Amino acid sequence: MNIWRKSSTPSSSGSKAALGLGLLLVLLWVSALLGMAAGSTSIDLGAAVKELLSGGAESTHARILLHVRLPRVCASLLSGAALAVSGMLIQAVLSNPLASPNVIGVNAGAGFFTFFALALFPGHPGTAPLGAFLGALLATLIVYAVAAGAGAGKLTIILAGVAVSSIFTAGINTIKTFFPETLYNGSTFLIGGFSGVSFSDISPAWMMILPALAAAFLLARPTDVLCLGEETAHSLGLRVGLTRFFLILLSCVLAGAAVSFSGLVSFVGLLVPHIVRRLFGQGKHLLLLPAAALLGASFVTLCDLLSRVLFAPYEIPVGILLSFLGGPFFLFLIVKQRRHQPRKKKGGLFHD
Amino acid sequence: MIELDRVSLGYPGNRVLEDISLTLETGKITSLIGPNGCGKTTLLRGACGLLPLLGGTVRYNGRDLSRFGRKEFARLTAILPQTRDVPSIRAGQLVAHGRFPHLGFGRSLTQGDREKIRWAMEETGTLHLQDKELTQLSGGERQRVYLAMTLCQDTDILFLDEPTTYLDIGQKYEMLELVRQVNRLGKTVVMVLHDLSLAFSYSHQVVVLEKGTIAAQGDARQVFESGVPARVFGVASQALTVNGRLEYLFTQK
Repeated sequence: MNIWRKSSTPSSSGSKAALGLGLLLVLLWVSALLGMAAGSTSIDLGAAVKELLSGGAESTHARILLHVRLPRVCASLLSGAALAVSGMLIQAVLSNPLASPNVIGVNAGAGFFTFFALALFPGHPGTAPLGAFLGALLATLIVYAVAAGAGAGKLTIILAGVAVSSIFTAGINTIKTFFPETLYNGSTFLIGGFSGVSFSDISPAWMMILPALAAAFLLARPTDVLCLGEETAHSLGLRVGLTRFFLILLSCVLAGAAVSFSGLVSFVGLLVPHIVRRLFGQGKHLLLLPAAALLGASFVTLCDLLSRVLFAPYEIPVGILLSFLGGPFFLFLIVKQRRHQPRKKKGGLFHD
Repeated sequence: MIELDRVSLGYPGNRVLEDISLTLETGKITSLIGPNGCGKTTLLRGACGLLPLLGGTVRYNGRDLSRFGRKEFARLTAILPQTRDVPSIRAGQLVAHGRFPHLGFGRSLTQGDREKIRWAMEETGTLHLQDKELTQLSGGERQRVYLAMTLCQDTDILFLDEPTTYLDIGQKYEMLELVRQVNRLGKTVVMVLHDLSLAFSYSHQVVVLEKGTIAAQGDARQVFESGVPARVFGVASQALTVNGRLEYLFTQK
């Protein structure tokens, strides 16, 4: 797939974009099907589906499909879509391609409250996801409140995010020190993965993620205008502060809900938006956001599939795999971009 | 008509302008001039709502600035800020954003919007640039594309902050001819200009600012002849007729 060449020739004419989205949709279906079909145990997918459709779930295959694979694929699809869109939004708001949800404190906040819940209610593992979500929200609100006190500029938000994150990270380490029993479950969360995920794990999250995705798509045009810079956006009649706050909140809700059941697999939020911008050009979020959702969902699902089958019957947490695959790919993109745009005026990669 | 009534403006801990009263007439080109740091840009930003007022009122056709909705105001005035981001989107896309205040929530561009976009790009001579990335354009081209965006906003009033920065002399004239052309379409233009000669040549009215107060305001010719601009800048000035055109010259004292 030659995705880098396209960035130099703008390719957002309607039909091309529609084709791109169509291909991503196909990729999504393929990933989902593969995710259901493959795994450490090989199952007869056709027979299992037939059995489930006829109302029964007696055979092992059908039960694996219903209780293991299906929730897992749903979880990876949801988490991938949410994190990719979250990343796309936060990069647009901060006009910084290096931004990802953890910049506004999502990871550290979610991590701290997960550990907090694990330490406080060791008998109730169900409180950890709730803690993660609320922690992400709380951290982001603190970041925003602090930054708003200083004018809520882009740089202030990033700086406040770094400071708040480091406080919460210190909190995580404190809990680790005093409640070493939280280490096992906690580190699973920090690495991120979908092992053993069930429908009840993702049911509160999808109720957040789906409406938030819809809201993000509805805000595509204001997001475009916000990307033109604060003053231009203001003079075009956009309520800059309100839009920025709302987009940050959406980004946080998406990422927080995703990490609540998947752990910190948030590298997706940095990587996928980049690839999507290469494919679809910049500045048209009506296209970029759905594309990010589709690609993010497919990417995480495929990575999760790999994590299951690569060393079957052992499993590598998908968070590790994502970083091992995504990191080099990201570096590759940087090198490619440098080579193709050697004399771009405004610093190429680091300018949106 | 835009009226500024005893307006004070500034930034936290730094009041730049105190008690400014000023009337900007409809259908005219008005330039704000003054030495660096005298508050030209601050005044412009205050007048168009980019900067909150510290005191006084600004009225548009008798209506208080604070009583306009954001989008409603953006349908009345368009602003070309001095410093702008250069997003890597295509020129045509940028110009299309000028229609933003006219679009409802989630509504897409209509045929009428598209015609406006085309018209704005034709007027500014940027139609051939529409598929080019903004980052690939020269300073002058970019400036024209941004002007096209503000034109596309289809407002009665245009605020331009230093529209000739980064332009060479030929492009400066081109830009100001464009401003004049836009004004002939019936639009009120208020701009900050660095170049004094150009300001006097192209404006109906000139406002001279000095250390946060208004030193002179009124008809360009009269303001020039009052000698105030030369005094404020510490230079000498004279008006010459070159090729039948009045040129304003500022030289060393």
